[in-house]
Amino acid sequence: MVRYTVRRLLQAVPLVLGASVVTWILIHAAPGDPIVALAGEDGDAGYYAMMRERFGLDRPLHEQLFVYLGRLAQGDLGFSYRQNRSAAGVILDQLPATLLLMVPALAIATAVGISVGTVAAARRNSALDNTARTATLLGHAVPVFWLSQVLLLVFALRFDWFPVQGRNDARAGYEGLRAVLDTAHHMVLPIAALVTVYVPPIMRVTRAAVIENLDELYIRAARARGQSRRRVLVRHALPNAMLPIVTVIGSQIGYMFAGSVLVETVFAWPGLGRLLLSAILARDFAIITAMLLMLSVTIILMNLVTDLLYSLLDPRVRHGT
Amino acid sequence: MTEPLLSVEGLRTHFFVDDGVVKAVDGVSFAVRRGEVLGLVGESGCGKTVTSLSVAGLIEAPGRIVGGSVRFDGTELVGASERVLNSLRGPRIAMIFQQPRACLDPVMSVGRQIGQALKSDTSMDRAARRRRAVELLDRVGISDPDRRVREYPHQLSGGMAQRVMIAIALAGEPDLLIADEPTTALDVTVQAQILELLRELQSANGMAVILITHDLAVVAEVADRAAVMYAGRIVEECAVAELYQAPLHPYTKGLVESRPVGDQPKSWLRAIPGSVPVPLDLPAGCSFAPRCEARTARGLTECTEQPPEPVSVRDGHSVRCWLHG
Repeated sequence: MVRYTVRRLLQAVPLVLGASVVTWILIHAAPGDPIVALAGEDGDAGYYAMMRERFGLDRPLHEQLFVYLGRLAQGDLGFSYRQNRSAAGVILDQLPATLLLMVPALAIATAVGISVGTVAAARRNSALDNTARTATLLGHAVPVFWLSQVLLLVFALRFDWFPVQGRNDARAGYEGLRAVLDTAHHMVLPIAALVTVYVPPIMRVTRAAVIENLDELYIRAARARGQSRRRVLVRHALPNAMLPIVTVIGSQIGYMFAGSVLVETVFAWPGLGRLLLSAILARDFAIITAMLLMLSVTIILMNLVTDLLYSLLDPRVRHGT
Repeated sequence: MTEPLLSVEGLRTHFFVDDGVVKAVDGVSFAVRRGEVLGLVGESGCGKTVTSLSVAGLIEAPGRIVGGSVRFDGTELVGASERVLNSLRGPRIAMIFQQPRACLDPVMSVGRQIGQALKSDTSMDRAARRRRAVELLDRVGISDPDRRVREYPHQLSGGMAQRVMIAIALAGEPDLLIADEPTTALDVTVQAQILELLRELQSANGMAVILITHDLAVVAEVADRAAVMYAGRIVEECAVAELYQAPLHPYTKGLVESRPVGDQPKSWLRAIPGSVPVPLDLPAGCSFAPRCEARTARGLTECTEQPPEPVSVRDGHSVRCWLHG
């Protein structure tokens, strides 16, 4: 297991390198000049030149790329021109806010998706199953930025149940438990939007995988030794359905960052999503490349975690048959 | 005579599919006494498995028991609640199946699956169940049971998996074991071992067995009585010896004659002409009539008009055929 993990991590190195080179080239190929974004248009040409020299932007592109890769090898993700500090520092500052939304949203979506999917599978074509399937289809089809805005309009503006934007109420200046509750209050709508997007794939895969396993002979054999329908569902069909479920959750996590960009923007949530958007608008190369690199590393790590979970969940994978 | 352990009367199990109604079991009656081995014989698709699943209350949609009665030790099982059935399945009625490896949950250890069958005995804790599981594995002839109990189904051969299934079935010390083609998917040498094990356990525990098979040789070896099924009905029921010496139904005769005989190695095997009727479109009269050579030879007309009722020809030998009606 340890050897396997180490081997997979080593295999990931060229992948990460490739991904970082590609994103770096793509960003530098895109139109837009960070110096103009920083110093404003129609500035003094001498000032532009000074800035370029200071950040090393006057050197040829391939040289810039090698400098970037060289620093990357030393764990330096680059320097943000706009924030005048290291990109890693900026990202680490914003990471907790994003995790504050993503982790609960993912936990809720996993619990809801798996339980509804399992019950829907057990009651194939019942009213509950059909409702769940229609709802997930809608959840799949609705764009998350639109949904976020509708949630805002209805529950924040129309009914005034939830705050409109931000992570806390800056004017109230709450402390202690009140501050925690205030943040939780702010979290409800963005998390609701994220859960709506996360649940459909989990629920659909769970339903399909559980249905497939319910038709297996070992289900009938378990029933023949006195296991109830419910126990057979929870103890046999669901554990056997876990591989595809884990796969879809693992593969979703990459897309979840993308979803969080939109949700954070609509709700003005001070997280990575908003950081990425503002970095793109400001041509803040270091932040953009660092974030995309982080994203590819996350996806690679999630794939590894998924594979390791496989062997935990299925003895056949564990024993390599 | 005392009341039989299991008595099935006029059992009808139909499957409601898009194309119509498949009458997989259509009026099956038989009885099994305590400690008796009944062989249920017939070709694939004749309704043997559906009969056994109906007895255990394990028919799933689109199938449904539409009529008849299954009485087990004084309890009516047709229409019984899930709770009653769950409490009987395992401790009183156990089952083993054709594909033993597919019948074991691949992600649950052998020991835990045996343990499930012991759960109804609340006096046992986890450790006691584990010890009992090891004993049971030893009982069914699995070597190194301490190690095997921790293993998973993919680590077992087909024969070992069937032994594990038998251990699970024995766990509750059942009164009735339903064995549905228990040796069909196994190697020939393993088949003999499993049959030997079944016979030995049956005589030691005194449990009744319904042995479902398409293999007459298996019936001859293990069963006391035989019931021959054709197209959802039992066409003949008798002691095993009579099945070979004096079969009455033309279908039974055909089956007996189509066996290879040891001292005639070069002769062609006799076959029954035609094929099993499509269960969606059964003939109006006797289901076997279209394939029946005896009918054409005698020129009987009832056969194609009305299904025959079972008649008792002599004590313990009944047949469903117009030739004997």
